[in-house]
Amino acid sequence: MKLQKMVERLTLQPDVSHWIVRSYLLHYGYQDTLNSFDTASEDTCPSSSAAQENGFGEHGDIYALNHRKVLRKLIKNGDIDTAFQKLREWYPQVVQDDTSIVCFLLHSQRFIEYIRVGFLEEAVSYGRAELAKFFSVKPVAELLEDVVALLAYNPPLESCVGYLLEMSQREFVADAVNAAVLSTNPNLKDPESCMHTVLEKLLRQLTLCSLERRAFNEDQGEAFHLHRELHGAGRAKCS
Amino acid sequence: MSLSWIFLGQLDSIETMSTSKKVITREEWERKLKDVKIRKEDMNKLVMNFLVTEGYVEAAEKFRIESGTEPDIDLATITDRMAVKKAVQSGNVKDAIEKVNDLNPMILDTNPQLYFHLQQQRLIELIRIGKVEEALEFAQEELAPRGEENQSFLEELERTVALLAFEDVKNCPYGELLDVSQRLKTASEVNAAILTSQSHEKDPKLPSLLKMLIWAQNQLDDKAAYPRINNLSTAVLEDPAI
Repeated sequence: MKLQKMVERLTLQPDVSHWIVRSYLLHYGYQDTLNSFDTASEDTCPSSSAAQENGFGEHGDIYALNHRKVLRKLIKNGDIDTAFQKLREWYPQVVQDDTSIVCFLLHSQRFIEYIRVGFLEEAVSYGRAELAKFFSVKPVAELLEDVVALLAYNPPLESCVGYLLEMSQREFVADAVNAAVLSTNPNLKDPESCMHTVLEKLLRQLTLCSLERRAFNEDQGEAFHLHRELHGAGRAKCS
Repeated sequence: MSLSWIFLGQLDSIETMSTSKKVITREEWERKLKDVKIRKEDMNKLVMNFLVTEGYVEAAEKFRIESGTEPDIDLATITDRMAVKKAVQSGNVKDAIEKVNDLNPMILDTNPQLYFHLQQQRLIELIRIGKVEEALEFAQEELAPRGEENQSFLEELERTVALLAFEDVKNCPYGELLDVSQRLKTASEVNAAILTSQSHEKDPKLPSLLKMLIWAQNQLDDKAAYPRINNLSTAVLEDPAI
């Protein structure tokens, strides 16, 4: 408790949390949320220009915001065909190479969606047409095995590869497409930034520093772990 | 026996002195960072927690739709809380007090400091619009009795009443009480009290985690030289000073 109090006494740059959240929403293309957030913050938080004066970084991810929002929505709804169509229309370079990771993820997701509704014959056809080529693409071979294995189980959701049917898998694909679209930005300064948000980088640094520190202490005590922090420690705090 | 202990003690301190900090190169650090997995859904939860605790109802609703993340409290309760916050931010303190009591009369009953600050804000608003007589009456009837019970209340009351002594209120010594920031401060206090009464953590988790990062880096600085993040808004790694 005492340690917690000491940590709480540290001061942060004003509005840095607000900035980080905004940055997250922008990066992943949560446009509607962002707009509500901005409207509600008008009175209480500084504008982008004021923020830059305070030494905050730039919000570069406004690029393709609406398109990214649309693509995310399509993928989250499992409508991969339309997602492909839109990508061909808006960002053909992303789907040009049909053996790319992005294409793999999209094709896999299409396959998964067939499985989800029990259209096994269609799944098999699709798999033969679009997934077979990926068996020779080393980085994805393992994941591909899991995907195809869905055919073997009934019900697939309860199998060891059932995780592919969860919403988190759709989100994973949506995030990959998001990153790919961001990478088409002609004004892109830092390719790394397409993959990770500021928030993620901060959380990784926190986790690693905590682990390193613990290593000096002969691995005693608990290191920081976000998942546990969010689900375990959270109790009502009274001042 | 005792001599050898002293000798060993000296050896020990010599060792600690000559141990320099472990240097971790950027390459190694970045490699290790790659191995740290942060789940997207956990980050979504963190963001949702921020939106909800800070009262961004609409944004929380939109985020729920756009990300599929469930908020950790009932969004309907946020609307009530936000109405109170907004009332204070607009200077409608009487309205805010009524709303808080509608929500839960225990909140103000169990929070004398909050109640005092709200009353103080009312006084400030009366002074702001130049209603001198009303302000004085209010101060005497509502605030003075509180001041008698509590030294710090009395001091704050005196500071506020002092505003009446100046023609150019905005530029007098306690002029900052008339600032919007004072309203925001009070609004924040109310917000926290309501959240607490709803058994919700009154603070969003994100700022705590940011502080934890600062702390973790400070702690690690004792033992190692490694790439640090010095600007939280950019999360840029800065090379270790060797």
